[in-house]
Amino acid sequence: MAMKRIILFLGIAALFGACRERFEAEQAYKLNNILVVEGFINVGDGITRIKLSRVTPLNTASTFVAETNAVVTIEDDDGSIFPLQNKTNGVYESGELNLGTDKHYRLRVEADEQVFVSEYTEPVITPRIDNVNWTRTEDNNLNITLSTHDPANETFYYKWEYEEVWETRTAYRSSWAYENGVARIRTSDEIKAMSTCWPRRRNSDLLMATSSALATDAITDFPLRTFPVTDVRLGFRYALTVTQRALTADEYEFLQVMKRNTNDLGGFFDSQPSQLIGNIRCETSNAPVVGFIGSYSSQVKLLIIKHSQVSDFDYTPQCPLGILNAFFEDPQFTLYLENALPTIPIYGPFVDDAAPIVGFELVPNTCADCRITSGTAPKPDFWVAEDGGEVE
Amino acid sequence: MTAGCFSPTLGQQEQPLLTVNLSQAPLKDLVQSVESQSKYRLYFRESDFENVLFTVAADRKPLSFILDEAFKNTSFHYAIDPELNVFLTKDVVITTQLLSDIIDDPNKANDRTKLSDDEENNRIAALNERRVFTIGAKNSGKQRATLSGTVKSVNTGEPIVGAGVTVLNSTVGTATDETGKYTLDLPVGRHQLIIRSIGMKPTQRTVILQSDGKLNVEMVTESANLKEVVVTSDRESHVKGIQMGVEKLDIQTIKYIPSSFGEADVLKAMLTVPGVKTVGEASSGFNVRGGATDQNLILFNNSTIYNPFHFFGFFSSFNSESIKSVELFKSAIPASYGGRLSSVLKVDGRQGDMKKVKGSAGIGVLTSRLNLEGPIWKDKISFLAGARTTYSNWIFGVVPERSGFRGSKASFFDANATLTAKLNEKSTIMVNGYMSNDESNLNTDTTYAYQNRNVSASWTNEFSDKLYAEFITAFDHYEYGNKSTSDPQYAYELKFGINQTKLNANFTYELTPAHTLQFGVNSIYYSINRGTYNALSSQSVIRPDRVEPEHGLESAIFLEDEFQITQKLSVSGGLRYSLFNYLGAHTVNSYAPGVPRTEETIVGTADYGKNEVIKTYSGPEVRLSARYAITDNFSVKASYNTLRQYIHMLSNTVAISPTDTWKLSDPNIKPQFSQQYSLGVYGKVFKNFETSLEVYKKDIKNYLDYKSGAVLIMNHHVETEVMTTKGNAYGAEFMIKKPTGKLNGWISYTYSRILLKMDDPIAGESINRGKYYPASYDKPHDFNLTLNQKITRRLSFSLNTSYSTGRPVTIPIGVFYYGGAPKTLYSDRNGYRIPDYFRMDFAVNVEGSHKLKQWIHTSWTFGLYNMTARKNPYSVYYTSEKGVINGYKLSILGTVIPYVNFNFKF
Repeated sequence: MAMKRIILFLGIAALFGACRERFEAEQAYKLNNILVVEGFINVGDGITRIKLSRVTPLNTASTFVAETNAVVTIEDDDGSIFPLQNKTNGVYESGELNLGTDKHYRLRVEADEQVFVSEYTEPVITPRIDNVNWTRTEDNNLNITLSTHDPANETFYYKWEYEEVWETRTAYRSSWAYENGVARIRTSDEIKAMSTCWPRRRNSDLLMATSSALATDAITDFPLRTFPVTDVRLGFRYALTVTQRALTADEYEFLQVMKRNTNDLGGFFDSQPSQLIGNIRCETSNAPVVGFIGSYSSQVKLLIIKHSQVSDFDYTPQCPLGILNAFFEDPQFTLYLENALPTIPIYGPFVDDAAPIVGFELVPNTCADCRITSGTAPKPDFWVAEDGGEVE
Repeated sequence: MTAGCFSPTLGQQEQPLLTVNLSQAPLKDLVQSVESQSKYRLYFRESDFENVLFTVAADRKPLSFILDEAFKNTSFHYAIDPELNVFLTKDVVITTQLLSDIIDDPNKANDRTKLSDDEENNRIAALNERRVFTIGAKNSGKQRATLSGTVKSVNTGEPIVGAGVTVLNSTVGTATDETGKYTLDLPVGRHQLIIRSIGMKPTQRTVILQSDGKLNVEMVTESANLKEVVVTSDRESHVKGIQMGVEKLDIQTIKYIPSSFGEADVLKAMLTVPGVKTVGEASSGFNVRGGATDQNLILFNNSTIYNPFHFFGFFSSFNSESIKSVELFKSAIPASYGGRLSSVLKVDGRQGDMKKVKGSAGIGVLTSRLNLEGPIWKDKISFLAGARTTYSNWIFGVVPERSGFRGSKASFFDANATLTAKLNEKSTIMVNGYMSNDESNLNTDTTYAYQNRNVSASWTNEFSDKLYAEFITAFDHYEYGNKSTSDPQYAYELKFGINQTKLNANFTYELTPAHTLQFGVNSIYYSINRGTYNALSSQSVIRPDRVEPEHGLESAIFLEDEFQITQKLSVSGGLRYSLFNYLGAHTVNSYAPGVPRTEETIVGTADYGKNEVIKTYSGPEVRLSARYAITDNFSVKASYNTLRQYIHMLSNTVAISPTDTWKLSDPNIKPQFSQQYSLGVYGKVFKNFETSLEVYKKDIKNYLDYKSGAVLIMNHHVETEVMTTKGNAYGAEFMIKKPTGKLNGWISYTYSRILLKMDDPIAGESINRGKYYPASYDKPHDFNLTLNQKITRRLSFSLNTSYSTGRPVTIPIGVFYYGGAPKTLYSDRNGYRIPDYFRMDFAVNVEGSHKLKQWIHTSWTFGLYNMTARKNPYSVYYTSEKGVINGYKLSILGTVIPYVNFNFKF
């Protein structure tokens, strides 16, 4: 609908020789001062994880600007205080607190000499996830869906976050290293770390649903994730850990507004964007702040899909660029190594029963070191525990 | 040359004999001498007799002898009537017998108007201006008397509504009513009446008022072949009329205001008067004194027009060839009108010519229009029919293929017809029909279409000199249908429509000359199709849906008294009592009290049967105004008004969009209410300049605003999406106008604000934390200059300049990450403004030859719209490019638009 509106808008514009020019409004706020608080107070099993960041101005490439120097605590209405640890990149985590559901909780954030507090909220108990299933469609997509329900008919609003992890391997192994003019054989651990990775991704979308329009408080087959069966994720093994939590109607509305605001950007017939009204305020000034912090319990479920379950296609790691035979005597040899890794040595003519290494077969470094694209996340704990053995 | 003419009756009487001996004496000596010896009263224009000396020697002679003697070998003439009034004139021979025929015998008066030739009309008009009319019987013994009559067009026989009738050198004045009638309470004696009306040549009558009597006035159409066309509005009414906050533009004025594609546009012209604004040049609807676009009652020949614009607001949907005048009430709204909070815009069409068949047509770049009128039965029944169409589709044919717009479609037309039947002098029946159609797709796969259909009939009857009545019935229809058929699987049609049937009975009763009562009953029955959504093909997977239609009855009784307390002070007090019934059949949700209305808080539903009264709202509406004339040229006016509105337009877009719907007040949506106080001073300075300053303050209650991302289309419980706001509007409007002269025009400046505040305790969310915020049409400064310079009779230049503050917008101000993805942070609602608006237009009007006998009259208009080519932003929008959100200003008419228009009349 939004797209149609924009087309219509531009249609009218084009008809009458409309033209567009850049528009930059004078900024009324110091944008880097607007704090963004994301997360929830976890009252059940598990930890509370709060993410703090800063709003960035519009006309810069949007990047995540973490707030790394804050003091974050959970407070209950009896005055107890539970501090959160400052992790990396704006993430603050508690331990396993097992907070009771008989109290009300709020979050307090001290950052940049300002104090922000959320409203005290009553904990909402999240019903368990009934199941997480996957199906393969005719056009070779893999759909992962989730079903849940609240037998007490009290929840109605649900939010999910997931983290997916899969195993990826490189097309080549870099058995040798060439550093500071010296070639050496890598250790097997070193090779393993470079050739097998477990990239992790969190959802980048607000996933929520409501059963408020339905007769029973049940969500059936909510679409969590879709990708083609030929995706690299299914090359060996794929796991998806989904965390479900209830939402209050207020937080649901807050998130809906945020979602809608991002989709429509003020076209001809677009509705007015709305201001985000969260439940956090600044105690020390009237500094604006974005966020909604409620207290909920959460439910987790793990789904694992092995390659064998979708084995009718072949997944072999590919290296799009070929192999380069590079010799030490090539003046550009060290230059090549900036973007490439040695695989096997090239030997020169025998000298005293031994052939000296005169060069290496080089491959692009992304083809022999998966950490470059997939990161250094360790093998998940459940990777072994699930079926009792390593995947080969 | 000397001529005396005695009435036959006078001849039978004994003429008094007088003795006058004067040598080289001024006329006043002669007059004094005659009047001291007899009951004769001599009347003359002093200027005619300045510096003229007379010599008479008469001993016991009749007056005729004396005057014959005095005027011998001069160009002076005299006439003596049976009442012993003597009229002295220069150059003109007058007959007193003829006068009484014109005044009292309507049939004979009618005979005299059977003059089809313009020249003859003018000659008669000129003669009447110089005559002296004696009204009523002499020696009635009264100090004061009532003069009444009808003002008509000599050209068409139509009564002239709203003509100003003023008395020279006094503060007395009035305006003609809907039948062209006027009534004046005057001291007996000689008076000079000035009669003016827009589009008509001003005229004057000299009367000697002796007791109550009638004087009908015929006015001549002001056309280019008679006299220069001047930009004029009700010249006297601002200073002398009791009404305030009334803006009237006649079609002649409108035609001289440069417009975007050269076609005279009645609604766009209204935007040049103070207090009327629009959010942008391509937007439907207008805002009056801080009111929303749905708070204007737009009446075209008594029909309510729900969407008065073509093509998303580029053109107004009224054919300028068929329009007589446009009148906008923005503060003191007469009690006979109601149902909208901000204004009444009355577009009056012309009546067909009763004398001869005529036509006019105009050809422009994008549109053409035609108007035809004439008698069906001469002097009894006339018709007028107009039509207008666009051929803008050719533009889509020539745009480059790569633009993606080739093959787009946009078409519209409108047609109107009026049948007028004069049953007799006092009784007229009028039937009006109007339709407009719009359809466009703009190369999307959706067709947006909307239609107005209106029929109205009225019977006006003068039951007696004192009682005049108007009965109106009208049927109004508006609908839209948006459909898409390109993908059979999703082929759909979305429809919405309003039907309303109206019955009005309005009476005007002249209780005494000082008290004029207006009273009546109005009733509207609404039937609204709130939305149907249907599959348009057999394969379509669209699930048909229908929002339950709704019905309502809005009724009102009103009484208004215009009371002239003294010559300087008049007041008008009106009371309108309006009553609204929300009627079944309907199912109504009830919500848990005190909590936000959502689907979850529905605690019950109730079914109501057909025509069962579900909910009743009612209340009084007060209409008060007063005028105090400090001097002849300076007056002060004040008014207080309250209004109620029972129908709401649901739209959460800035402009009227093709998906806006209307909704009646129901148990969950309260009627809107407003009250307005205004005060104005009006003065005439330097003889030719009219100035006015009006200040106002307006409070609005229960105006609907929408929750974030409200879903308004096909919503079965729209009350969960809306919240009520209160509005606070105030402003000052300043205007200087030079209505006549070779250079004429006006300058207006308005400072105004409209601030809204969410005050719904159960809305569940608040806009800008419950503080006041500017409405999207809040444009504090607004300046307008409209000038017309006459070079010759056939050549004139027009210039229009407007400036206004940019309108407020809500814009993205930053980006943040949430849920792992970038999200946009918006400013407060309407926290920013787009750049200021400035535009200057220029037009050259060339009239063709105006030989009177020529059967066709042509005129050309050449113009430049937006001659400075300023790229006035209509809106700002934001788009994500390579991960960066960039803002753009979009101007729709961001270049010079030259145009040419050819008009002809036959």
